[in-house]
Amino acid sequence: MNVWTPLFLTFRIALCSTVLAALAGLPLARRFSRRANPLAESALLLPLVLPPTTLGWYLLLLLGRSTAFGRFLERHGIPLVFDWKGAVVAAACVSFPLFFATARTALAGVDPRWEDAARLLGASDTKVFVRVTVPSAARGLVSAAILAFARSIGDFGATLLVAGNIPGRTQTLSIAIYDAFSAGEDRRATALVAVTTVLAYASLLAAHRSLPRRWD
Amino acid sequence: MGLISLAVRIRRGTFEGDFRIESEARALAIFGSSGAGKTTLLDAVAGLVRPEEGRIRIGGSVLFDSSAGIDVPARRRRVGYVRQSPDLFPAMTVSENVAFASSCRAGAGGSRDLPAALGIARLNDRRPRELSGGETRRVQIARTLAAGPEILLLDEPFANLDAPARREILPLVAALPRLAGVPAVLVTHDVEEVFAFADEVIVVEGGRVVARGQPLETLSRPGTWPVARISGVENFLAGTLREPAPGGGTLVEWEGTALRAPAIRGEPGDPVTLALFAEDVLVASGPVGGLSARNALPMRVETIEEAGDAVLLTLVDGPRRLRSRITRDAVSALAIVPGSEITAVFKSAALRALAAVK
Repeated sequence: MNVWTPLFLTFRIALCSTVLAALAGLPLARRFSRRANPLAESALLLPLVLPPTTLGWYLLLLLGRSTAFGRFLERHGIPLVFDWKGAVVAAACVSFPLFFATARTALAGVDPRWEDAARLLGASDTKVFVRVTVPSAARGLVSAAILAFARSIGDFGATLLVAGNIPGRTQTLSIAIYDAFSAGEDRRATALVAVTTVLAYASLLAAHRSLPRRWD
Repeated sequence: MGLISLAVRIRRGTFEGDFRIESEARALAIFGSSGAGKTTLLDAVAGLVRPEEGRIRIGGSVLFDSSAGIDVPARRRRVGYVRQSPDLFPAMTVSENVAFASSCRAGAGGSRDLPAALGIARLNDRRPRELSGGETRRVQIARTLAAGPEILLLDEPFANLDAPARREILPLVAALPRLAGVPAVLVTHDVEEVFAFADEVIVVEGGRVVARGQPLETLSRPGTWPVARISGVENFLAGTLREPAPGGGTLVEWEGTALRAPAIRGEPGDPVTLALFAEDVLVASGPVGGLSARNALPMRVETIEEAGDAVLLTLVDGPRRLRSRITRDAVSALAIVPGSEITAVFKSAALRALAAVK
């Protein structure tokens, strides 16, 4: 009864997807933190409301062999469908809105006085953002990453549709639990549930400890 | 070619200003009541507010010219702006705040001795929220100067400071143009600050420049414009320092009589101007005794004007003139009419020396 393989896989996928969601989410959050745009923002938040299976289906359509993009990926040796990288993309899509919304609120809460001050001292826009805005919003940004990570750990529907249920390759904890339950392996399901709980709790604890101090 | 040359029309919310300023002063004060547009004017010079039209030139650089389509962005202006509200970066220590500023522009860095001169060297490892109001202001000034500005704008640097902190920083700010080697503009509504700091004062009112010139001449000129309404000071007494008074304080010779003032630095014979609020001048209907107030001058009431819910008296005695604000009730109780012989009484502490602290 191997519970470690799905554990490490889940951890790796959640970590990668959080990084991906943050890379995409931070510039967008910056863009919309000062000027609201309901049309664009609603579209970006859509994955939060859509059932994960819906999202999974969209991803399959986009990344699968039926599209030029999917065939391009496969030709260049980065197949996403039925691969752990596909699970990362799926988890990143479902967790993106949580990162984006939380980060946008955190950035919007940064006092414009500080950004003006940096600009008056001669700092470039990038420097203002990296050195002043982000550190001032660090607490909120870390929270955004925690939420994204938590959502990634828990994803089932989108991951299953895109990456499938391949033990050792794409079978994450939540999929493994369902798999064990369907097969009537109650002991295995219970062990997986316990491991998942420990992972979730340990991640939260670690995140909490790394939370920067409140400055103002 | 002047140091500062600007002519701008600015609109911000309901505020509309039309400022024209030409100045050579290395220490220029912009004096006006709140709402006169002083901060908006500084914001425009710094590039935070875009004027409707006009031009702004500092030294040799044109920062804004609507007809030529020039609008240099704030970060390229080399205008050091110490704003009224604290704006230190909260996640950085004091020394990191200053280091950030020196890292922004080539050739920046400021003087090595500046933190020491500003008395902030010992605060290096503190966070902004651990600083007092006065310390915050000094770090703001140090950070601004570290960016290597060509001009320094100070927006009410004493606002929200308690009296001890203000006393501590006033001489420091007054010394800034010399210390930092850059011309500086101070925005204030306090006469004492103008005198301590400025070579030249520009008085603004309702978005316009209403007077300009050498501070003493401009601010103590009675009746030509509403300085008293802005500053609250009706009496400017120009005199000369005499010897220290026995028992503390300083004697000041004023139009043939000796006044007792708080301790004033300087040599006997130095000119000094004393500011005195009309509220601080009491009126007694006859000779007085048994008072703690050290100054009592026999005078005659010349005029009685209604001034809001109080009354403004003009008192004269030979070349000496004083204004006193008392209640209408007091006027009738003492039966004061034009021509009444009275005694004007004020404490020595009510006299504020307006002198260059430099």
